Amino acid sequence: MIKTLFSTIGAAVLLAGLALPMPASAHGPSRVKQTETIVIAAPPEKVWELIGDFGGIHRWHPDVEKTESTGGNEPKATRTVTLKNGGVIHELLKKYDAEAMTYQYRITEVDVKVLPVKNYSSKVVLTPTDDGGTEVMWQGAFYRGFMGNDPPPELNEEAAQSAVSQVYTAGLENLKKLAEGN
Amino acid sequence: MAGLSVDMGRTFSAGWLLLVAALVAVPAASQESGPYAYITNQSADTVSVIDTASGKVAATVPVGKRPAGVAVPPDGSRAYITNPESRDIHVIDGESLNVTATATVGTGPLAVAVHPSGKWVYVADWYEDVVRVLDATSLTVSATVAVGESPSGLVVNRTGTRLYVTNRDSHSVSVVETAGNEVIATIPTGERPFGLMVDAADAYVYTANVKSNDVTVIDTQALAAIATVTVEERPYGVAVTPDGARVFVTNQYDNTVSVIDAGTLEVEAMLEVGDYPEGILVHPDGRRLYVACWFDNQVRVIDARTLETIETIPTGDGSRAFGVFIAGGS
Repeated sequence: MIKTLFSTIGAAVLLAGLALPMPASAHGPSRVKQTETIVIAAPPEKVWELIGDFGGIHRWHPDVEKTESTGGNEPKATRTVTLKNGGVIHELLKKYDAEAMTYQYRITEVDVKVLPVKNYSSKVVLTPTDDGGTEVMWQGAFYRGFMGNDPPPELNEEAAQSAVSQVYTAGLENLKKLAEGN
Repeated sequence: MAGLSVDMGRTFSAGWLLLVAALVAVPAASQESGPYAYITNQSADTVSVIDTASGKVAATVPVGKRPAGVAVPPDGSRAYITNPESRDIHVIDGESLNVTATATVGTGPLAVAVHPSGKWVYVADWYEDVVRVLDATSLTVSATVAVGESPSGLVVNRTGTRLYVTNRDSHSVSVVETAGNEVIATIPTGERPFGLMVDAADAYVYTANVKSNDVTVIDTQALAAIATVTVEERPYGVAVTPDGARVFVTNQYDNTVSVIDAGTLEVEAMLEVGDYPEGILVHPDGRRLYVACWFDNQVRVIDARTLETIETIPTGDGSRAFGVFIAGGS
């Protein structure tokens, strides 16, 4: 699903890039947000062991082939995430709180062909549920991929939100499967 | 900085005089309800109107698409709202809280400010690199002022003689003399200045520089930057107490507000707020600081002196409140 989306966008961006000027770094459009949550029947510690490792996203996200990371789980740690479709995303850890089971990070570099967003930042929060399980919230704030006025449909807000939502949903569903697995 | 402390004395006395004058001028009725805080909810296409006397949302007003900028004249008679997606402005009546007028303005209306006389409204156009001067009643364009690239923030001084404009992609502030709508100076700032505020005495302008994570302090008489204060990641908006003594800056990526002592230009405190704090303003009472938190859909009210949180008011989706969103606020 995501693979298809990525390649479709790739072709569209290539065409759009030929026809329309792309302002360097203006962000006139409106920032949008996306939040996905999932409830997992496993204790927070077990879920955190997977998702709490900033450099280990390949261990639980089904779209990720490998992760190269520096700095562990300290602020300013980095990870280079290589997707199974070949796309690469560079990310930076902003805040990390193991006790509260939450961290914030942002994308420092990504091609809109890989993920049609700009200025993306994100937060993961784990909350214990009353029955001993875990609620995982994954949220992001970002701009659409096309920063000029009148974006092509492939690079508008809906496309950005849809792509991020699919990344989150796929990751959270697999996280649930793994954490509840044994 | 000996020169600065001498200037600050002037700032304090003039600031207090203005504050006293403002308090005397406020009619009794507006103390019972309001003044209102007009919070643009970018993702909900609405404005939450908070009665600052009760802390309750008095009305939720539908406006255009993706509302962002807001400006309220000192008399509180109305609020001007920019809608960058529908490329128009909406005028909300300060008594009925209904939209009483709309007008299309350019291709990228974002920041808005209103002249203290209430006669002119200034709208910065993100894509066209101009500020349009609109007749506040007819909403027709009476002048167009060319400024720097991607003008992003606007503020008019208390006496109405000057309009200050941040040019995000030229890394500068344009100083416009309002009498002739002419740019009299262009002052370099840190990287990507966005929000800004001028103190009540019109002595200093402070810009929040999104890229370089700092605040540029501009001396308005010398028309030059005199200092840079480092803050946290992605500073967005700036507020100043009526006496000019404290400056507050929202840090979008840090979920905090930096509190700057205007005398020493040191960060004296950091306040944890909601996620993505954006619009920020000190109430004309000088006691309450309002912070719109974009991700959390809420406004935090903080005591500007003790720095304690007073209350959290739920608003709409994507609260931004970019501009002077309370009459007489700074």
